[in-house]
Amino acid sequence: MILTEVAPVWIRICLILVLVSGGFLLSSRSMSNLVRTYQFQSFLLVLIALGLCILEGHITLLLVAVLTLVSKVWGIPACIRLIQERIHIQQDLKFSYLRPPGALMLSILIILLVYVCFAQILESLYAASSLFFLGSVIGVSLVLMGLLAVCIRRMAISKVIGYLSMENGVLAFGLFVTELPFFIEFVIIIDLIILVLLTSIMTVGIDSSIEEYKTRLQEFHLLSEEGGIS
Amino acid sequence: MIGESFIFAFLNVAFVVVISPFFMMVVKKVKARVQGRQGPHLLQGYYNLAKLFRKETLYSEYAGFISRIAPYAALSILLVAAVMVPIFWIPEQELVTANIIVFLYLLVTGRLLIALLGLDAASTFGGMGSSREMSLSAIIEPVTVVVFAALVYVTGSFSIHDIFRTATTMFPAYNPTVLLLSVPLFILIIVETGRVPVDNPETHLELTMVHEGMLLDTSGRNLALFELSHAVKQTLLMAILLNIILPAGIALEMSAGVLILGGVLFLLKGTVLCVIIGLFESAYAKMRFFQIPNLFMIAFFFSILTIFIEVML
Amino acid sequence: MIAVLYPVVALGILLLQLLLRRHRSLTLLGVIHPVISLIITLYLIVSPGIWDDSPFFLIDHISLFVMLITSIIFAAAALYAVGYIDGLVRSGDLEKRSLRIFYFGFSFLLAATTMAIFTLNIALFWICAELTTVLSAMLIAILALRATIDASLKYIFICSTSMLFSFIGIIFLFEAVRNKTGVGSLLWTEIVDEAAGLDSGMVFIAFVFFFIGFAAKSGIVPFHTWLPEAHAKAPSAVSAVLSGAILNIGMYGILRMTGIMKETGVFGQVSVLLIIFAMMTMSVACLSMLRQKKLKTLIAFSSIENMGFIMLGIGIGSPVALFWALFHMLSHSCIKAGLFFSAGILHRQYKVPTRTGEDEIGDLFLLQPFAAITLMAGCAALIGMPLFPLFLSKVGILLAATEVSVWIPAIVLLLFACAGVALIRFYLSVMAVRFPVGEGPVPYKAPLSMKFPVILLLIISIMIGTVMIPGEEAFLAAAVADLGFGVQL
Repeated sequence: MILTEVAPVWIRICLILVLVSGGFLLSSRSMSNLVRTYQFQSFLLVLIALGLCILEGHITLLLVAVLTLVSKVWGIPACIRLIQERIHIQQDLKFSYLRPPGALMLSILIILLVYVCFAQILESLYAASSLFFLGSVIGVSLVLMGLLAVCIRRMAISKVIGYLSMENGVLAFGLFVTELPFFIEFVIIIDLIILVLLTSIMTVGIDSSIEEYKTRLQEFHLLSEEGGIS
Repeated sequence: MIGESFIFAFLNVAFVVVISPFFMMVVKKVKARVQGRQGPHLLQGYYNLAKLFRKETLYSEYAGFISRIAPYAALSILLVAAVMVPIFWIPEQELVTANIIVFLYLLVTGRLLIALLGLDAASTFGGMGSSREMSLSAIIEPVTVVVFAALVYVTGSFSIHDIFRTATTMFPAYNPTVLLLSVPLFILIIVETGRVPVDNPETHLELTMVHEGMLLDTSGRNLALFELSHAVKQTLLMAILLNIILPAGIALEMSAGVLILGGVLFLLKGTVLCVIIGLFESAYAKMRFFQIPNLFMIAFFFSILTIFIEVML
Repeated sequence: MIAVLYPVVALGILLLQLLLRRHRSLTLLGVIHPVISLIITLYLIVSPGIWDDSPFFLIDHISLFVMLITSIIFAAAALYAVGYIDGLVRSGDLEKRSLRIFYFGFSFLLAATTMAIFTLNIALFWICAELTTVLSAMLIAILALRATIDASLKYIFICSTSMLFSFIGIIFLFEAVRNKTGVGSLLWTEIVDEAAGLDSGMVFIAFVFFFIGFAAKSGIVPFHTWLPEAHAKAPSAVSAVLSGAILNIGMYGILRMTGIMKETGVFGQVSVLLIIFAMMTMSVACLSMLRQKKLKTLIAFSSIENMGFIMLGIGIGSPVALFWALFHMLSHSCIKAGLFFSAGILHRQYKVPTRTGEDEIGDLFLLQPFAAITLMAGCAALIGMPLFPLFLSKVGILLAATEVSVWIPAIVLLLFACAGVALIRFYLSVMAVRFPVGEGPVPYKAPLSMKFPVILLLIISIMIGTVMIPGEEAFLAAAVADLGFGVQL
């Protein structure tokens, strides 16, 4: 079938684009671009899962693809957009520790490091199937790049998106391990939902309870009636 | 055969010189149409060059020999570079060494001459433009080198002729590297020709100029030569991008029909690419000068990734 | 099938908490849940014959031991919370509608911890550990102040991102087993059986990744940055549960994983890794303790130090070291929970808003004699005074450490001295403060429900520290054997 010939190439292209989207996550300044990049990344993972399903024929991969499509391409970005509407912030201009050019350099070093480490330690498997090796290197690199995004971004929402892309990296890594039990994916989804829910409650809580802080301060007589700190 | 190479050199350079003003006008026309204007006539570039050749050449009283020889030197360097990049016909034997790194540094030399020219007239805007141009050039150089290195690694040879020849045998969709490379190459075109979002070529505000600022004190024939060399540079870079991504129609043998077909096809492909460049320019605003390294960083990231993938695959 | 009672009871209590409204009933449910868990655990401990009856649960000595610690701490904390939460509600720090969330989260946390300890499947263990992170973060943030929300978010981010690395480690382990047997496995028991022939490179990477997540959960340096803030800003009942029960989940994961590693060929490297991180943790914790001026942050760093010490015991890897490491887990939990309870009483007393925003402790023995004495006892216990159990475990592990290198006990003793100095110095500094006449705060009458758990935990500690309960030594030795570390003592 033509599909089985094209599938490995498409998987490779999608893997590379996944890394590219990871790079965009590190440097994008607009909130809506961030969410869109995350959607794009999840969509690429759906394509990779479909490609692997065609290559190897496990039905679980198809289910994984559908689940990822529903939850990560549609569901979670919708949640995040809801949160964004409540906190009216359009841009995330501040970075701590590292600005985007430096972060991109660091991520290049990370990819190189992961490649070298895995090549040394996984010699026995490297020869076996190069798609697994590429998938594992890119999966772990994406996890580390997501970690970098969590560290250098200041806003809580951006940190959450960095965390979500870390989970994408773990998913990408897990896709290449055949016969992984399906409920792993299910579990990651539940974990993500809990995390997004909780963080949304908290970040909205920070933002909306500014008034409550004032009443608390007044209660403790730390805020004088005119509004200054006594 | 040497004869064939001479014919190739002559045809290539003539084609590039003739076609470049047309491509510049296509970009301007697209941008104008997007902005709701009519835009210049497509042959306006030739009329402009003709007009400028007739005008008087004035020099500033502080200008030295650079202002007198730089226009000719820059155009000559670019014409030599034009011999190295086959546009629609790849001859069997290279006339000059078509090493891609030599090509890159020919372009850089041309840029150096223009930067010196900007300083030569002792005008502040010229100096400002020169310093900006050189800093951008310094930052884009690693990207360019890595992109070209990726090209060399994929195709296995340093010669541009061989790279194009290999590209005609590969179909790009099966090689993700080549597809990936198109992005940094495109960003390279934008940067080298000084287009939005790096620099606005149609600005008349001297404080925002990068490229135009260096040419403020040129006039008449010198200005015409600079405009021509700028257009030639754009065409050469476009040719590199097009002949790697879409090598269909490049002539590999010397026969009139195939050559004409190659020329026409390149014209069409170039026009499409110019339309894309025009649309890209219209879609973005000019970036703040200190944000430009971010753009370069993304191109660098792409190109390094390309090399990694080639190694890892 | 007795073990099925755990989730059944938990489900029942959670449902009831959703339905009932009155504060008194919620608190009663909150106390009943851990007490029932404790009773079930004790029953399972004394009847080893029925362990194999529960096919979905991993019941062996080590899981029962950790469950015992967990239920004792949860029961004490629930009892303490009766008075503490009441005080919070009365002073307006906690809103009424957060009450139900608190108790629901508390019981859910106990249920998640139980499932984590008893599950056969590593992936389920990972999920439950993540659940405990999320739930305890919710409990930390229950007061809805900016500082607590910040601390809670930091906790979630650091622990969750590290847990993702653990998940990668689990996948690596799965793949390693699949390479050997053709069909991978995610069950603790099966992996231990197959561990002998696994590819050493892959299994070492699996361990390193796995270690990252659970070390973050336990507060090992360099993943410890969430711990001092989270413990200091949370309500004391929650801090006690965090220190006494949730940190142990991380150690439990590392324990089981080390047991798997023992069968493979890389145990030497694993051991070195664990010892290096343990030494780093103890150094950072003890040296930081010298700089602390607030009580709860001081106690939090002491938690980090003790977790590092437990990991040192695990890293040394001899049966004696592991025996004392398990013992240390139990004693540390009891003593730390007692300390946090006393700190909570002090906080209720001294939390009058001050210019600096911190509690200013003064007239200690005059206003809160009970808390002062229990604080002193707790500090003495932490330092390692002989009547208390930490003395035994510290001596045991340090003696076992001399077999690895004689520098380890030397440096560790120096660090313990630093920690001791920090605790004593803090205590002396607050003991001596006297408020000018008429300026001190109103004496706070701590209800009996807050005092009773402290006394109970102190009595348990002294009991463990002085006498060996019949069967305790055999039980712990069997736990060590369960992990695969041999039976000679």
